[in-house]
Amino acid sequence: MSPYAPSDDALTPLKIVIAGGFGVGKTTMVGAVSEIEPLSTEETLTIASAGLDRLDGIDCKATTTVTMDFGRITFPAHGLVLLLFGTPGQERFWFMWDDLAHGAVGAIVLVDTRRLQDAFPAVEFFERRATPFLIAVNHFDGTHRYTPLEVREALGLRADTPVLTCDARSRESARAVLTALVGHAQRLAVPHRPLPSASPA
Amino acid sequence: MRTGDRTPWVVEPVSGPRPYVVTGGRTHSTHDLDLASLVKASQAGRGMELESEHELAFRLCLHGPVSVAELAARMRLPVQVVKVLLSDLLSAGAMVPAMPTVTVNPADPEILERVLVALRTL
Ligand SMILES: Nc1nc2c(ncn2[C@@H]2O[C@H](COP(=O)(O)OP(=O)(O)O)[C@@H](O)[C@H]2O)c(=O)[nH]1
Ligand SMILES: [Mg+2]
Repeated sequence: MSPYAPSDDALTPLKIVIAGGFGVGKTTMVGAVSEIEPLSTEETLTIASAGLDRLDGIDCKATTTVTMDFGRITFPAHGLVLLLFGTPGQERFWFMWDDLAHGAVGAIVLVDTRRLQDAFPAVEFFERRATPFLIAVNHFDGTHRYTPLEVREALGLRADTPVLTCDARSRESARAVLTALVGHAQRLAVPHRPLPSASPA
Repeated sequence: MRTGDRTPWVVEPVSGPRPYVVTGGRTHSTHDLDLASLVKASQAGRGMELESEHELAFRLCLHGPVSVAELAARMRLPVQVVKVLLSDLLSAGAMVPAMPTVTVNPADPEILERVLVALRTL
């Protein structure tokens, strides 16, 4: 029996991260494809004094609330559940991304071409961590549409990092992005699968 | 942390056959749980009397596997607190893991193929 064969009603959970800057459409995309209304987990974090003023040698602390979106898609017939995590894209949340990226299938980095630079921290993080990721350009109405090539160049992506366009409001579009990500992860997992030989000896 | 000032949890029989699960003072979960870990309520747990937050977590897991992340969101509690609650419930046998015992490698081409096949049905 395969270790993955579901026993009873056990499911194999697989994480997918949806990262990107504020307002880029993370919550919208999780909601478009999740079988439940997206939930939000709020973590109140106390940030140590880095960059903040000190008063009489006492470190000032600041608290911030991080909202993470959660959604899921269960495939009982396949013994799987995809857990979707929408997470803010600022560098200061990297410690949180470690938890999320650990054991994740991969990440979707959502991009709004009006604020391309918001994607830099996520791109840098997933590249460094060797987490499979792709860029999904969420097209807002009336915004200038950059070609995937222009986005690729602006973000300094590696040649094998996929760049797609999507509409985060559309379930079909979100499904296509998920499919592309899993396909990409699979190609990375088997990088040197030999091509069938063209002419047998 | 909300559980910080409590006495350690114990399971002890009270009058009658129902064990009573008291809540915990630990801040670290003793089980290896992460955001994606799935748990479900056990049959045995149905016969236990649980302290309020444990009871809520238990009830949310009555209908099949629930992830730590979802539970935290539904209970509006920090993930770390939920991990501690779940550790108590797992130790008491009120909940059981609801995922394969073998750690799944998310880069396993076979499992990724299964995800692709599943996504086609969406
Ligand atoms: N026109 C348009 N609006 C979108 C699209 N995706 C998201 N929005 C809207 O943009 C706003 C921000 O989206 P949200 O999902 O909350 O962004 P988040 O901060 O990344 O979670 C919301 O008002 C969405 O309805 C899109 O593809 N097209
Ligand atoms: Mg949001």
